[in-house]
Amino acid sequence: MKLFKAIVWILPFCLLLDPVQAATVRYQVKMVFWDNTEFTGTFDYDIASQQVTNLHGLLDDVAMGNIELIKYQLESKPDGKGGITAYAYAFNSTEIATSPNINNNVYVAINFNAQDPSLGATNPDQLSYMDCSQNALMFDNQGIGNCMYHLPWHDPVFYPMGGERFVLSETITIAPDPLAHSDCLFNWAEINYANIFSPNQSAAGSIALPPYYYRFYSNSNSYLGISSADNHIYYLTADGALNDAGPAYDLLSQAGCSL
Amino acid sequence: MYPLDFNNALPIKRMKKNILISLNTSLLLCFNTVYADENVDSPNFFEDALIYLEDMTVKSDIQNPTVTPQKNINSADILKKQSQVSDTAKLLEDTAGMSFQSGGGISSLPIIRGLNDNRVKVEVNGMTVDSICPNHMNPALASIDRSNIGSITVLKGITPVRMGGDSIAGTISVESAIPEFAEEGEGVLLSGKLSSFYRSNGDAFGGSFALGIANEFASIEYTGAHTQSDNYQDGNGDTIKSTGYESQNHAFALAFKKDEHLLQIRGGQQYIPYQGFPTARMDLPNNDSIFGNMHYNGDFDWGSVDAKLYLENTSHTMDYLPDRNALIPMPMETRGKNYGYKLGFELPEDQDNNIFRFGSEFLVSEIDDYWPATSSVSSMMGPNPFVNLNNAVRDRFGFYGEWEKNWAEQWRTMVGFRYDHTWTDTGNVQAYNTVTSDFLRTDHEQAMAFNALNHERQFDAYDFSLLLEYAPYDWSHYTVGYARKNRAPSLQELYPWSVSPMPMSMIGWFADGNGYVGNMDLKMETANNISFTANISDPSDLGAWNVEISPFFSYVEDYIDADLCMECRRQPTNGYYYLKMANHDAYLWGVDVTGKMDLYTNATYGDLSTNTVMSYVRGKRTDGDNLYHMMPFNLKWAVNHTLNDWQNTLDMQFVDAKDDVQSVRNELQTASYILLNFKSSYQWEKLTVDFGVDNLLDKHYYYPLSGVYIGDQNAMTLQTSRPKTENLAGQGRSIYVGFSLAY
Repeated sequence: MKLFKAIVWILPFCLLLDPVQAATVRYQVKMVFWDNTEFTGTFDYDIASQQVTNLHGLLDDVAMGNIELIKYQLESKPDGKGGITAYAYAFNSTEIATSPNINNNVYVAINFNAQDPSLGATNPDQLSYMDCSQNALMFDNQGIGNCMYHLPWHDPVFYPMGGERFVLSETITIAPDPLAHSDCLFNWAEINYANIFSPNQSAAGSIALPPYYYRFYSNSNSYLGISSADNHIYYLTADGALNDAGPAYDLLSQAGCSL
Repeated sequence: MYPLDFNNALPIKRMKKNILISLNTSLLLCFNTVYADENVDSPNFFEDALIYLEDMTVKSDIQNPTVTPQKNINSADILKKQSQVSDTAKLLEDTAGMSFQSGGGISSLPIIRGLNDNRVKVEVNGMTVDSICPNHMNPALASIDRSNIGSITVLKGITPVRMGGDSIAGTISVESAIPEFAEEGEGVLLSGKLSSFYRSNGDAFGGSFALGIANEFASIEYTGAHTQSDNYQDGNGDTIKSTGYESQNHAFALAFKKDEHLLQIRGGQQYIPYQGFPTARMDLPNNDSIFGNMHYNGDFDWGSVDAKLYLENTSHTMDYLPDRNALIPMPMETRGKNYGYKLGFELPEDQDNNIFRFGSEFLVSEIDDYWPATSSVSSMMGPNPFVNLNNAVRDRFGFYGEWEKNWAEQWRTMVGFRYDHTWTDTGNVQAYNTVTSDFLRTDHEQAMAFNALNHERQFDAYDFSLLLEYAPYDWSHYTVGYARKNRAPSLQELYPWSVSPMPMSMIGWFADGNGYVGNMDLKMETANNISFTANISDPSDLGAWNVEISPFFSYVEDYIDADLCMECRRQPTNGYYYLKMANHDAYLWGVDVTGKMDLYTNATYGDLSTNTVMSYVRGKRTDGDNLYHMMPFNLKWAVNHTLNDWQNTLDMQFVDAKDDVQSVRNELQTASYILLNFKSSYQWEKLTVDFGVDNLLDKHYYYPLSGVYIGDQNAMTLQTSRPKTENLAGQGRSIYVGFSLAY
């Protein structure tokens, strides 16, 4: 009886605690703007408190070939339509402007349903970005610095330097384990370069030795890894030569292991 | 290469027993240009054109015929087209096997039997001028105005080694008119030409002026020309943007003659203040070039000498012209220089009917290609200039030997061997800025990687040609030939280094809208060309008809083509691609046909005749893809009327659909079409008046090799371009009128 009373007494607390423990969920988001620019990133969302934190990712200006790291989530607010808009920046500052630009800041705004982020945007007009980084900054005939942007409230909506694509999309899903991307890439390499990266291994064969996350291949006595220090892929050959195979971002995309 | 005096020329010596001279029939039947000129190399063909002389000097602007089948276009032919076309290359459009890739209004690229651009050796007054522009906006043929041309010789496929080297398609040799000197005792000879034209489509107009003064020993001449046009309209009446142009040309010629020695010194300047390029991402807002050359030709007891020394310097600018409404400037500057020499010797025909020729050639081509910064702060295009080619150099040294033998009246052979050594190199390059990234290789990082490489490349080329001519009768002759020809990669094929979207989008001379990066691992192209030509005509004395059929086959090892760029981050999804130069084995085959027939002769109503030109070519890579820009079957059929000094031509041009397109470039197909054209010309003493209507029915059509229409776009990368769906439409109806006065 005492046990029953205890359960009855504790259960409400358990029910209260459970949502809190499960509420902070990591989501991955991918946006494509009219000018082909893409944002891929992650954020943590607490559905109970409707708090968005840690929005970060990469803004890929596909058209111009420029990628910027967005790492400071500095704002979030309700959109008035049952959703939330979150803003993240390259600099730890919300100051940004175009035509003329005032700095080399970059920002991205995502929007999602507050009850279930995977339902996507409740107000697509909140989806926007502005890229004033050096490789995205163009000076016009008057010498004014213009950022690349997609601003639905602006005229024109995107920086008009060529043709049109007019594709605007946002996809939000629950994020997998971050290391899964690296393992996905290793698996891809084992299939496509079996002569070097063999025998095949599973994620259990991956080793974390910061800043490297890698696998060892006994047949070729070589290593394949990704460094979190520079996000590059490294290949260590049997003779001890460490080769920088370049940024992991593109190869992840090529291997179908993108975020 | 040959003396002015035909008494000392090769065919005269060949038939010296008969003291026979064959006049180019185009001088007599100049109306039938297509037919008559094709047969300049068959002197025993036109029995009715043979004149037996005791002693006579004949002046002509036609080079001597050899074993090689060749097409000669003389000054009379050129004069007839002067009002009709502004583009020097288009003077060749009635030549079987010739087609053109559209560039600007005066800068189309010639294609011989499916082999294009760099594969064609183009000589302008002996100068081999390589295009310096990364979009080939200033091809060699555009360097001379059509009004300053005396003759054009086209050799297809089987080129004598003395006229070949570093080319696999053939040779186009453009020569200004041979200087005129006063006859002995004539005193001072004054000569000149005045011409003007107007074309309704695009409101094109222009004119030329030439003045010469000469005595027996010296001659000086000036030629100036101006041509300009607004955008043209297609057959639907739509204005095609970025098709306007303006060009000014000035040329001086100084010549000295003494006995059998002739020295010509030429110099000139070309100024193109603007020229739109509807199939390129950029336009030409300025092009300045100057040239100078010396040409010595002399006869000695032991043989003849032909020596040329030349220099050409070009300052070339690219950017967006107003038609594209660009908000962002995209300046690109190119500085180029070509200089070199050519030296040729010919030993006279010996007792055994052998003729030997040998010579040497050296050519230097230098290119600086840099794109100025548009801002002084670090940005997409700043603060440093982007250096695409830094003092890129392509030197070529070659020598050759050629043996021609007349085995009998019916048999002639020519064998030639040639060696060319090509060096290429370029200096270090740089990006607009020094930005680095953890997520991709920026231009700066790519430039550093490129600079760490050895850029020097060397190519050894061994050319060989063999020609056999058999002429069993006066009315038939046959030529069969084989040529092994080589071409080393150009600087633009080797060294453009950036795989980033914007630089790649700015590079490409294929009118396909795609972006390109070079490949330093390219190998030399080696072509094995086989060609046969049968020329048969009416055996009767009337010479009322003639037909020439010339099938050909070419296998090209390491044909320089393109593959999808694997180093590039992403390919667009709008039909355009980022491509990298790559070698592939390829083969081409086809046939050229020309024909002519006299239909009716009447002293009161004049003469009626007909002539035709047909061409067909196919080209494939051995991996199965088609070669790019293969001209489908096309036919030009003309009915000609001549009454005294009045000449009329109504011609029909049929072009078949282009279905065999290259997938790697996403080449667009084109539909078949028929055009009707009319032209009339009347000559009254020294005045010639031309009138004509091109595209009489105002047909809307797409010339198969024009390329994709992007002249209304300012996309700085392929991804920002509109989807690739539209070919460049051809000109709608155009009425033209022109006159020329020779005095």
